[in-house]
Parts: sequence; structure tokens; C-alpha cells
Amino acid sequence: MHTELYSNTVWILIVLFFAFIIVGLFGNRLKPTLAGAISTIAILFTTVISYTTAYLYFFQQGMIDGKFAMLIPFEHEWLRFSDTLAIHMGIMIDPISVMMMVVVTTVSSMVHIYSFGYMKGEKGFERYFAFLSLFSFSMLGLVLSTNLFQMYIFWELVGASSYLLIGFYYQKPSAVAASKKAFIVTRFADLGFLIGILLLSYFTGTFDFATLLDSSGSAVSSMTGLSFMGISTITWVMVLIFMGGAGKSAMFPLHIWLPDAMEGPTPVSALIHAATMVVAGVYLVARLFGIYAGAPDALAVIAFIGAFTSLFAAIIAVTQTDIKRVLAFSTISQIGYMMLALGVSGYGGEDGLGFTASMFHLFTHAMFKALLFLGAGSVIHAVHSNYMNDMGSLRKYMPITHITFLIAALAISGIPPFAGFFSKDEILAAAWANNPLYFWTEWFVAGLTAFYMFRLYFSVFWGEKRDYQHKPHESPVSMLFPLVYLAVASAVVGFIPFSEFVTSDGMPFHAHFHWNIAIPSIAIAVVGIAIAAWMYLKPGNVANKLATSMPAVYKLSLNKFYIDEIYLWITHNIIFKGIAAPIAWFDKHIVDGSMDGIAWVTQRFSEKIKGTQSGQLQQYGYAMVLGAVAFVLLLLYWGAR
Amino acid sequence: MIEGIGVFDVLVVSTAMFFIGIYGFLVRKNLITILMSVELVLNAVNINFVVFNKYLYPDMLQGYMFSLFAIGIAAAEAAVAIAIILNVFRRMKGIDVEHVDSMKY
Amino acid sequence: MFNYNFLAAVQLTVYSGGIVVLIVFAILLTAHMEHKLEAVSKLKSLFAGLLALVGTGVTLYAIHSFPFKTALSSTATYDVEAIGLKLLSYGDYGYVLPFEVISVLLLAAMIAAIIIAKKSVSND
Repeated sequence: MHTELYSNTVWILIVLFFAFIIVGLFGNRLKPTLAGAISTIAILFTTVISYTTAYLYFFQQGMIDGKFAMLIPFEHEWLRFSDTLAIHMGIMIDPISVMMMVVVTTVSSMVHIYSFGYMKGEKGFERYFAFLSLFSFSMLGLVLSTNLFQMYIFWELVGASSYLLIGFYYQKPSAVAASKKAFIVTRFADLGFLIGILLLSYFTGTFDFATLLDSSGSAVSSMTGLSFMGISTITWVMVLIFMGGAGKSAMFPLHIWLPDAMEGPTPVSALIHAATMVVAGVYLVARLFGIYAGAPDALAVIAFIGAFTSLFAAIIAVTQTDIKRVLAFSTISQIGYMMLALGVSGYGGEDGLGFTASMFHLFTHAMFKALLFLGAGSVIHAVHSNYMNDMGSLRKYMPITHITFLIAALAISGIPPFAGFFSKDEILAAAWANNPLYFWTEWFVAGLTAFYMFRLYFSVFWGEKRDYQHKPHESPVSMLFPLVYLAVASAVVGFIPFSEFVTSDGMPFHAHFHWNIAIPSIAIAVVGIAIAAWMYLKPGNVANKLATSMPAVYKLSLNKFYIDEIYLWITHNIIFKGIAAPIAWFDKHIVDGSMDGIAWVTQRFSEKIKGTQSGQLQQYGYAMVLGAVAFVLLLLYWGAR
Repeated sequence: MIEGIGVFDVLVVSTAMFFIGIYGFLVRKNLITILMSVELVLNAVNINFVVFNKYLYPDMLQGYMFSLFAIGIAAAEAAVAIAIILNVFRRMKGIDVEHVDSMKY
Repeated sequence: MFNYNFLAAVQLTVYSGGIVVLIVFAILLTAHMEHKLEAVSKLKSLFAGLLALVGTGVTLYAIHSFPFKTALSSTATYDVEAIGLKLLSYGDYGYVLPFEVISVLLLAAMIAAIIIAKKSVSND
């Protein structure tokens, strides 16, 4: 029917996979530029396909019966467990998957182009591009998957690519530790995800999204009424699945890996840890939103964790001095926004505003957060240091980076007409409709966001005049083009009427503009910017004086609320000493001991009886004759019996 | 056949010879002496065959022939044994049976 | 005593003329004038003697309790001609096969004795 139009989408995955194989296997024989070019051409090709698919789907063919349909242009059965339960590999076209496809390919192609300039001359240039292709392949496979199991497969692949890319500078012990940490934390979260998948498929008998999200709700009806330990089964299942999403999206308390993941190269941070991989958790909840709508307790959990995480991360971001750490905590905070928006959302029509807002924020955030990271990379490349204390007054040396960074900072602070204002406004509207407490929390976090973002901006581009050893120069064109492209995107995408395209149940609706929400949010953002300007615009001591006046709060924030230390303490004292050590003792002394004991007994026994093989002729003769005589005696006595 | 001497009496002799030979095999140290004890055992067996032939089956000659061949084989075996003993002597510079024990644990 | 004259002659020839001479040669070749053999250990001779006595007892008991059927005396005597014919006849009760086999065996024993006892040329 309509699906033949989208059959090109299968090329997306095939081309990227082959780019990975070719650059991965033959990279070190190719010239670096050629290896990079293969990868970049592959991703540009997929970008073109994704843009045309999006155009076709949203503007021409996608609507069936007044709502955007879930189309499956390609599906292949891989494993069959029973008559109803099978795992397919396929591609699904759906409003959110098309939107994610556009986001991922855009940001990924920008990162590829940027990496030509940033990673130039690095050892392992080809390996880097191979891993970038692998990551793009996995992420696109994740968003285009037709069923939960395929999504899980690509989920793990994304985790593996992230591990490879974070640990890219494998000779740095901190990078290796960070990649291990990322992988272990997300793997631990994926345990919950897997249990959730298994439970869900057990109760509903299927993995396919099309069946699970069928609007009649027939698939999940088998779970209603069941409960376990006082909480209904459907809540358990959805919370477990959310646990997987929380790990990947760095929600509290599984957020610890994301700041450390900044050890990877900056373009990697832009791609994976700002725009694409970390939103996989949000995407997961959005994908299964039809089922989440039937589990309001699970949604309440998601909303709470989202709100808490955004506040928590924003407080920490206020005091960090490493540029990338500030941006990492900012990412955690913004993803908290997205999760909150999903948590407070209803289903269908205007009630589904939260869903639309979350997806809209995902889209805009990808643009401006990638821009912020790439701009930060540009600054780091020029100054050869990550720390804000080493930077200042860079606006004279790097004008284009300066302007694009400013645009991104304005966007994230929610200043109109840039993109972040529109998406944040819709989130705040959804929060207000659900629970005013969430609204006021997020309003405060918006202020904090503006503050720390402009703290960063002013410290780097205004502020103190530093003594630079090499005069910082503007970055090459390969690094500037993505900055400009993303800046234009950040400025413009706010005007897309997202609710016409992406909604919770597929039917477009018209979202109203709420002035009574917009005015307070702009106001708090302006206040945040003003405070930041007062503290950091001119060189001075205001910041230090404030820090020393609130030492406890400052220390807590600077040390990320000591969460890492708590985890380490738990791991060392409880897990290592309490659980692992006794088991190791048991294994070494009892299991190994019994095996060694058997061997020891055998050896001692054989030492005792080896004397019979003495080589003495007469001893052998004696034994023979003795045996013969004994045998005869035996026969005689038995014969006599 | 001799009057007054039954099978059992001759068999006593041959049994005694047999076990004396075995005792000698188990006790002596010199390899050549051991060989002589083995010859003793073989001779005892020969007596056994001849006695059974003469007393139980005087018309047939199987025991006779067998002991003939046994004598021949004993001679061949003694020759080979002497050759081995000479070789051992060359290696060990002595023919004590307790030193010929390299095929041990 | 049993009128087995040929057997007696063969025994005398082979044993005293062959084997004893061989043994004497061997003793001469392997003797050390100064080499005194150690005495046998008492324990070993005790056990061996014990075994021999027990063996003798068991055998004699077995033989004694077996009823041997002595045949009536026969006057058939076998002279050398008869034995020779018997050795070479291939009908019933002919012994030509063992005869041939023992000739091969003696050949093999001769070769073996030569090979084992010769001085090894290579490593000396």
C-alpha cells in the first residue's frame, strides 16, 4: 500500500553497517581522509533518505483516517518461539521514529563533518570513524525497530558503541574507567529492562509494537487485575522497562556515568551523550506510551524521577568548572524535563500535550545541545584545556564560535524566538495541568539553567583576559560548518507546529500558546542571565565571595552531592567485602579445595603402591608363583565345597 | 615300568625338583645361577611328561616327543639367556639381579 | 629305567654337552675375581622358602588325591628308527610340524644370541 514508498529506509541500516565493516576492517590500510570520507558519505546518504522519508510521511502520504499510521515497510522473521511469539527484524515508520531518524541523522552527519577538523592528525582516526558508523547504525536500528526485542538488541549495540567511543583514548586510565563505568551502569539498568520485556511478552504473548500498542488495548488486557506484592503487574512491568530507560538516559540514581563519559572526544559527547543515545530512554517510554497510559502509577514514578533529576543536575551544574561537565549535567537536567513531560502527560488529543512537548523538546534539545558541545569542542581545541578557569575573553579570537554558542545558550535558556522557548513552554504547560508543584520546580530549574549556561558563556567569551600561550584561532571550516548549520536549526525549529505531527495517539491537534506560562518562564530566564552577567561578565570576585558565604551548599554541589562516593562505598564495603569475598573464599577453599584434595589423595595413594613396580625380577617372579599357588588353593577349596 | 615304584613316587621327585628350582629362582643373586634354576624347573617338567607317558599311555609317544622338543627348546632358551647376561655384564660390570631394575617406576 | 634310551642320550648330549658348557663359559666370562656376591637377605629367603614349601604341599596333596589309572604294561619298545619315522611322518600322530618349527626356532635363537651378544660398534 503506502509502504513501498518507504522501502528506501532499509538502505539506511545496510549502508551504515557496511560503512562500519569497511572502515573497521580496512581502515588502517586506507588513508585517514578516505576512511573518514567513506563514513561521512554513508551518513550523508542516510540523512538524505531520512529527510525525504520525513517529507513524504509528514507532508504527503502519512495520514490514514486522519491520524499518522504506524507503517512497516520491511520486516523479516528471525526467530520463532511459538505460534504467536516471534522476533522479527524490521523497519517501522511512525511519527516518533521518523522524527528521531531526522534528529539522529542530522546530528550524526554534523558530527562526522566536525570530526574531520577536530580529530585531524589523531592516531586512530579510522577507528573513530568506524565506531561512529557503528553507533549511527545502532541508534537508527533502535529507533526504527518494529518490536521490543529488536529494540533491545540495538539498545545493547548502542551501549557497546558508547563504550568503544568513550574509551577511545584507551591509553588514558580515566577514559578506560569511564567507559567501563558507563557500560556497567547501563548494563545494570538493562537488567530491569530485560525482565520487563520478558514479563511483558509473557503476559501479552508478543513483542511487536504494532500489536502491543493497538488502540483497542487488547494486548495488555491480560495484565489487568493481576498484582504482585500490592502493586499491579502492569505497573511493575512498565517501571522495570523504565529502569532500562533511566539507565540509558542518566536519570537519578543511574546518572553517574554521564559526567565521566566526557572523557571521550568532544564530538562523541555531542553525538552520543547529548543528542541521541541519552534520549533513547525517553524514546522508549514514548514508544510504549500507549501501554504507559494504562499504568498511571508508572507514569507518576517517571514524572517524579524526571523532576527530581532535573533539579538535582541543575544544582550541580552551577558550580562545575570543566566545560564538558557543565554541559553533561545540563543534559541530565534537560532529559529530566523530557521524562517529566512524559510522566505528566495524558493520552489522546489535548491531554497528550506532555507527550508532544517531550518529543518537541527532544528535537530542539538535540539541536542546541549538540551545538553547545561542538562549540565547546571548538573552544577546547583552541585553548587546549577543558577548564573554564583557563579561558576568558575568547570572543575576539573566535567570532563564529562565539555567535553560535550564544544562540545555543539563548535557546537552552528558553528565550524567544529560539527553539528552546517553544518546547520548554509546552512542557511547563503540561506540568501546570498535572500538578502545580512540578510546574514551580521546573520553573525554578529553568532559571538555574539560564544561570549556569550564561555563567559558562560569560566565563569563556567575556570575563577575565587570560594570557594564552598560543593565540587561540578560529576553527577550520570543517568545524565551523556544523556549528552554523545547527545554529540555524536552533533558531528556526521552534516554529515547527509539532503538535500537527507528533502526538500520543497519532492524531494531530492544535496546541495553544499560553501567555500565562510563557511570561513567567521568560522572566525567570532573564533573571538568571542577569545574575550570571553580574557575577561573570566583568572580571571580579563576586563568584568566589558567594561560594565562600554558602560553603556547605557549594561543596555539596561541587562534589556532585557525593553520589559517586556513596556508590563506591557501597560497592567496596557491602558488595566486595560482604558478598564477593565470602563467595571467593568458598570457591577457593571448598570447591578448589575438594578438587585438590582428591588429587592429593590420589597422589599419596599412588606413592604408597608404586613399590610394586620395582623392576626387580625376583619380586615379579615371586608374585606370579604366589598368585598361581593361591589360585590353586582357591580352586581346591571351592572344589571341595 | 618298574615294579614297586608307582606314579606318585616319581611325581614326588619331580615336584620337589620343580619347587627347588623355583626357590632357587627367587633367592639367588647371580643371573647365571637363576638360569640354572630355570633349567632345573624345565627338567622337572620333562620328568613329569615322561612319567605320565610311561605309566598311563605306554602305547603312545606324545609325552616322549614333547619332552624331546622341550629339551631342544630349553637349550635354545639357555643360549639366548646367556647372550643377554653377557650384554648385561657389559653394561653393569656385574651380574647382580638386583641391579637390573631400570624398568621401574 | 623306562627304556627310553634315545631320550636319555639326547638329554645327556644337550644338557651336559651343551648347556653346562655354555654356563661354564658364561661364568668364566662374567666373573670378577675380587667380586664377592653379597649374602641373600634372610627375609627374602624366608618368604621364598615358605612359598616353595606351601607350593610343594599343595601340589603333592593334589596329586595324591587324584586317582591315576595305570595302564597295563605294554611291551612295545621304541627304537631310534621308530622314533625317527614318527618324527618325520605327517599322518596321524606325526610330528613333522613341530620338527620343522623347532628347526626354525633354533635358527632364530642362534641369530638372536649372536645379535644380542655382539659388541655394539657405534657407541663404545
